[in-house]
This record gives sequence, C-alpha cells and structure tokens, in this order.
Amino acid sequence: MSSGSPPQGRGRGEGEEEGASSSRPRFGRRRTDYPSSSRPRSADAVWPEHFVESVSIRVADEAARFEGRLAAAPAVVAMFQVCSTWRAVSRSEFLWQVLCRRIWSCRRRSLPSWREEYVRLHRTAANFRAGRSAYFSLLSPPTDDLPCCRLALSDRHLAAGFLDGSVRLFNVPAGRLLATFRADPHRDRLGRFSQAISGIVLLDNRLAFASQDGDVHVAELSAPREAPRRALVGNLMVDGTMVDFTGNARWWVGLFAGAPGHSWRVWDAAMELLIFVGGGLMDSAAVVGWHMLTDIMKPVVGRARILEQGVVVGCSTSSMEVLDLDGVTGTILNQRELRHGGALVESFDAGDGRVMVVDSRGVATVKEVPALTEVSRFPTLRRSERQHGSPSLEGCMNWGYALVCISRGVHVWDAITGEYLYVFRQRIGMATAMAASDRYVVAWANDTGLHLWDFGAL
Amino acid sequence: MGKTIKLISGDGEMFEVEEAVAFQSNIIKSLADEDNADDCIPLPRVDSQILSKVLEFCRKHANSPSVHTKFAAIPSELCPKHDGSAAGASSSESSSAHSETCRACYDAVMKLVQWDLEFVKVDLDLIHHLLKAANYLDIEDLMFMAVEGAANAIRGNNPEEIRKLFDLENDFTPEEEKEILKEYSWLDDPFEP
Repeated sequence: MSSGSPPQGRGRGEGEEEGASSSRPRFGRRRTDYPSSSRPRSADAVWPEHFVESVSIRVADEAARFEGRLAAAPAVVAMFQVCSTWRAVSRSEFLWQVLCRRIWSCRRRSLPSWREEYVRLHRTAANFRAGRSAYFSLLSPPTDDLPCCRLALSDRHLAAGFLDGSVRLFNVPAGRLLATFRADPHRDRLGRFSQAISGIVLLDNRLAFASQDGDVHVAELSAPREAPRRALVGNLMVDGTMVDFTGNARWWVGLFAGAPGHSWRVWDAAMELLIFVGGGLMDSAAVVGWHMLTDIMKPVVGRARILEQGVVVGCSTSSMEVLDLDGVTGTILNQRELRHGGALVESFDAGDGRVMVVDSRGVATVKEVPALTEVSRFPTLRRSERQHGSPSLEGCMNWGYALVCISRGVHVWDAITGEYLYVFRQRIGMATAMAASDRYVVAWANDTGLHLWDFGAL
Repeated sequence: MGKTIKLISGDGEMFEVEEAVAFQSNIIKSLADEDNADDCIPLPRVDSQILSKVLEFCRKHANSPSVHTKFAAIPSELCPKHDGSAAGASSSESSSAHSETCRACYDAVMKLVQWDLEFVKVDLDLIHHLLKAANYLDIEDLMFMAVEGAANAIRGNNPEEIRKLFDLENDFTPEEEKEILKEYSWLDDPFEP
C-alpha cells in the first residue's frame, strides 16, 4: 500500500485519544495547497455515503484478489468501524448484494436479507478452509453391485447416475431419496453398457441425463413420478460413444469418441436443437470409445465441463481444449498439449472459471479459462505411490478448493495457492465419481457407497 | 491539433484541449453539442489546479477504451496488434474472450491501469477534489480511479489508521463499540479443523 499520507500525519495531539467520543468538530489546518474553501467538516459531506459504499466494494474486491475471499469481509468491516456515518453504509442491502455477487458469484438469495446471505457464504467458505463439515452416508453399496458413474449437485438436490442407466435424485442437505428415473427400457441397446449414464445436467426444476448411446432424457423435478421424456435420440453407429455430457440452462454439450472429427456436439438446451458438431479432441480415443460400451474397466478417455463464462473445456489424455459457446459456437478458443505422460482424465474438473487436472506423475495443475494460464501447481501423490504404474484417483473442484481422492483418503488443497489443507476424516476407499459445489462434496466408492459432506451446516 | 474546445475554470483560467480529451466528460460533451454561439465552456465549480489534473487524466484516456468501467473488455477492432478486420461477434463476451487471449490487448490494458494507479497515489485531499470534479463533470473512469485511490489508501489499515487518513472522529459510544464487536463476531474464525 503506497498512497501518500496527508502531511499532518500522526503527529497531531489534540483530540486524538483512542476511542474518544468527543463531539467537538475538528478544525485542523489545511493539509495541502488545494483549495478547501468549500470543504465543510462533517464526515458525510466531505465523503458522501455513496462514495464510501463504492470504496468499501473496491476494498473488498482487492482483499479478495490479493488475500483470498475470506479476507474481503474483515477488510470491509474495518471501514464500518471508523465512525457512525461509515457504519451506516453497512445497512445498505444493495452493498451486501453487490458483495455477494462480486466476492462469491452468488446471484440468488436463500436467506431473508443479502447481509445474512453474505454471512452464510463467508462461514461456509471458512468451514471449507478449516475442514468443518457434517457427514452423511446416503447409500450403502447395493447388493447387486451397481456402480455409480456420475454425480451432480445443485442448491437443493444431488443426482447420482448409475451403470444400469438409472438416475437417483436426493434432496440436500437431508439426503432423502426423492425419485429414481429410468430411460425408456424398450429402446435398442448396443453393448451391455450403452445405457450407462455419461452425464447429468441438474437444474433447479429439471434434470437432463445422457447415456453412452447418446440418448438424452429430461425429467421434471416437480413431477418426480412421471417417466422422463426422451429429448434426444442418439445414433451410436454414426456418432460413436458419448463419453461425457455437461451443460446448463442454455446448452447441452456431449463429448463423443468413435467418429473422427465429431468429438463435440452442442445443443440449444431450451429448444433441444443441435447447433454444432465438430472437433477432433477425441479422435485418438476412437477405438477405446467403442470398447466403453462393453467394458467398463477402461480408463476414462475424455471429460467435458461447462463454465459460467459460456465456454466448455474438454480434456483427453493428451490435450485440453476450450470451445466457445456464447460467442461463435464451436470456435476453439484455446488448446493445450498436456505433457509429462499425459493427464489422468478422471481428475479433471472445473469451478469458478478455472479447471484442474492431475498428470500421470501425480502433479495437479489449476488453470484459468479460457487463457489456460497456470494458477497453481501441487503434488498429490507420494513418491511411493507414483512408482506403482498409472495411479488411480478421482478429482473435483469448486470455487476455491481442489479435492483429490486416492486410496488413503480425500485430500483438499487451496486451488488458488496450491497449499495443502487437510484430509477428510472419513476413509471411503477409492472413489469412482466425485462432485463439489460451494457447499457440498459428494463421492461414490464401490465398496462403501454414496457419501455427502455438508460445509454449510455449522 | 484536431478540433478544440475552450474550457474556463472557476478561477478564470482558460484551457484549450482537443475534443477527444474534453469529451471524456459527458457534461462537457453535452454542453458542446448544444448549439451555443460561445466556443468557451465555463466550469465555475472546478478551479484551475484541479482542472489541470483532470485534463491530464483525460489526455491519457482519450484514445483508449474504458478499461475500468468495462473491466478490460477490449473489442477486437481496438486491439493494437490486429488491424480491426478480425472477424468475430461483437458481443462483449467474445470481446473479453479476445482480450483475455490476446497478448497485445492485455499489455495495453495493463500499461494504462499502471499509469492510473500512479495517478491516484496522492493524498486523500486531492482524491477528494478529483472525485468532486469527476462527479460534476461526469467522467466515469476518473470517478472509478478516485474510488480506487481511496481504496488503496485504506487497504491494510485498521479503523484508527483509516480515521487518521480521512481526518474523521471516532464518534461511537463504548456501548456502540461493544455492539459492533458482537455484530461481526462471525468473523472470528480460528481456521482450526
């Protein structure tokens, strides 16, 4: 911090007592050559309230940028403790609404006021930092040995997609099973696992789930007993296997392996219309893609994640690419070859404008999207673990934390600084699916079932 | 020099500046647009010392996109490296995607941001006058930078230090101070698992 301090500095004696509650106005001498004839001495006339409000937003922004989001509130609260006029600014709901949006990317309020919402976001983040959560075991592994292959979280729900093509919907934080959705059982199948869930888009009011054969079904969450509607019909022979499916309210994006030059398919989610086909990200994985229909033990060959900025990022074992959605759909904005033996695609995830992936040496990198500039880098494996062939791990990320599940537990790092933080107390074994939101972490392990951690509970 | 505008400060000094410089101020722009016979625009509430600083800022920003209020989204036609014929949607999202991946745009933005940060590394009295002038003349970027300058001054300081910087009194009663500590007790977090 390097602003010039006023020439009077700290040398003044009178009226300077700590915590003095004198009501005598201070008429100090003029501090500079600049004219002060029009300068009255009451605080709010000199520094108007809307100015103090703008400055407090800026102070919070800068604290978050340089010291992390948890530093924003202490920085701005220091301003509210200056005097009663500045304290009055803290009663502005508009201020807290802007801070919720700017610091936490939160645009919807679940509590009666924006101030309370900010406090909730800050405390949840502090819980994440400290590893304080409420843990729930939601589903013990079923006796029919049915692995879960996809997980998705929203504010109020958790959806788990299984190898048999079913999707189970739970509410959070209670963890109660609300519904089980199944695709049309009579449709054609090619290969034992063609109906395995390849991705879930979970919104507040609807859920879209895709299977490896390219079918996409939609279920309305307000009518969970109704059978889901088949919105898109896949064409396995032409398009190949859908290895991943991601999206939001505006787009659905499928990543395909098996048909060269057709790695990406983008649909307008509202109209359910195909708007783009193309790309070669998965070309080298064509053969493995076909085998995924009959053999689930194949390693993950591709993953795709949609980001808030209107782009989707895809990751294969050898490269990463950023596909534009919002501007000119289908334009490759950026591409990066992944060196050092390639990527462990099952560790790839995205959160808050960043992506993470672990390479085959066990080194995780977090990159900013779309520039793919490196934000942090940290080792996730011990030397002994690296030497045992290709390591097995699963990764996920939210706005500030990167989580990696290896056999000895779920470990957490600060995604921005790369600092190692802690390991979850619960040992769940090896996860095959994981997801993290701002409040929850969910994981599935074949031996121990479905696990939920709630960081907003305390 | 292109077409110029004459401005008269509150203490009677005349400044002649290019239109592109003066029109950073929305007020000056709308006064000049009106078909007055005068070619001098009086600015009685801004004296010459402050006006000179304001014009220094405007001169620097005259041929640049508004980097602060639009958060560094440079349309590709303004990119110093490209010749303006770059294809692409004109939506602001793809503009920011362009400037985020274009090195030349990024460097230009960073240079201007650095200059602006130096410009407001001044005492709060000057920032106060610049803020009033920017408000009166409706110069968005200068208002932004005055806020930035004050925020930089505050950063890292505790309440007492902020009071000294802004020449403010602590007018809380002891009861009010206790109330404030309670109100923000949710910040006391030891970060211990």
